Amino acid sequence: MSPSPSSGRLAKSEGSIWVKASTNGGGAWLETDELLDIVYWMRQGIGLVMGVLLGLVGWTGFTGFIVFGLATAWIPVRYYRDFLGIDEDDFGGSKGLVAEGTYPSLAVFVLCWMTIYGFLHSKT
Amino acid sequence: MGDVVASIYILLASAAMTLLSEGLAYVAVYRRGEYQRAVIRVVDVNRKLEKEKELLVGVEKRERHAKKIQKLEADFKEAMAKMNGMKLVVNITIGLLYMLAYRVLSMRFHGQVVGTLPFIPFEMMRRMSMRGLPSGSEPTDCAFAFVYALAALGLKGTIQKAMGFAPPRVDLGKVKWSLNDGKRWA
Repeated sequence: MSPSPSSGRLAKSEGSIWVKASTNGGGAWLETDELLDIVYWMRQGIGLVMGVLLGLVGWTGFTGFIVFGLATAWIPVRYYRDFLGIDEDDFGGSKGLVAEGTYPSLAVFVLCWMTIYGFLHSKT
Repeated sequence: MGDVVASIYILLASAAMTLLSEGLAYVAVYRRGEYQRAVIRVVDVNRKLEKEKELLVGVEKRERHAKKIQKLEADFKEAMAKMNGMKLVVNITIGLLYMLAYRVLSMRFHGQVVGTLPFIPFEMMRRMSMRGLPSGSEPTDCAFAFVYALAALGLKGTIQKAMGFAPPRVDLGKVKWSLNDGKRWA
């Protein structure tokens, strides 16, 4: 049974951020900074996973960036809107949420993609 | 596979530099109560400023509201200046250390292919990704500078966040800045 906002069992700013992040509807207990942190780490994870996956299958070309871009834009948004039940306006608008962690995530993606690809598929 | 080993070496070197610089910053700045209070003040004033800017006021209160925002903006600039002033010396030191590390690694990997890009970079990107490589190198060959830059971009913020040393989130664009703000750094 997941805690409900009305029960007050997880008050805002109390409890682990990751417990709130893994609770359906847990957005009600999150502070703005906590949500931004969750989205940041989520994007780093997506960058890592996408880089490894594309490297493993030997994906080449700029289409890899398109795949990464779609994943890093779509997954966090679906997560915080549908799973956490967040209204972006309550957290300063969508601009901050869309931008959070994007550049570091892109760097992680390229590094992983490049390293795995070089290890498995490079001719040198 | 030698290039993969080289790029992992560069990644680890970049991570080590970040840990060293954050450790230095912690010892010199972050652990000091004065700095922690300065950060709290920045976050607090920023929060008040954002709240005040979102407020809708009637025509009769508009002037007083504008003056309140002006005062909060001035407080915010002062708080930021104080916080950044405390980090000035350590930031300069860290900058010099990064320059030294870049120089050492650059000499070590000069002319060496340290990675293979899975895409052909466009012209502007190629200037960095093939920097220092001999002519005749493949466009997908990657030089040290590119990997180092990616590692710095990808690892620095993440390591800072993981260690709890990330700077406070403030939207500097919301405040009007000018050269003469009339406040001196602490």
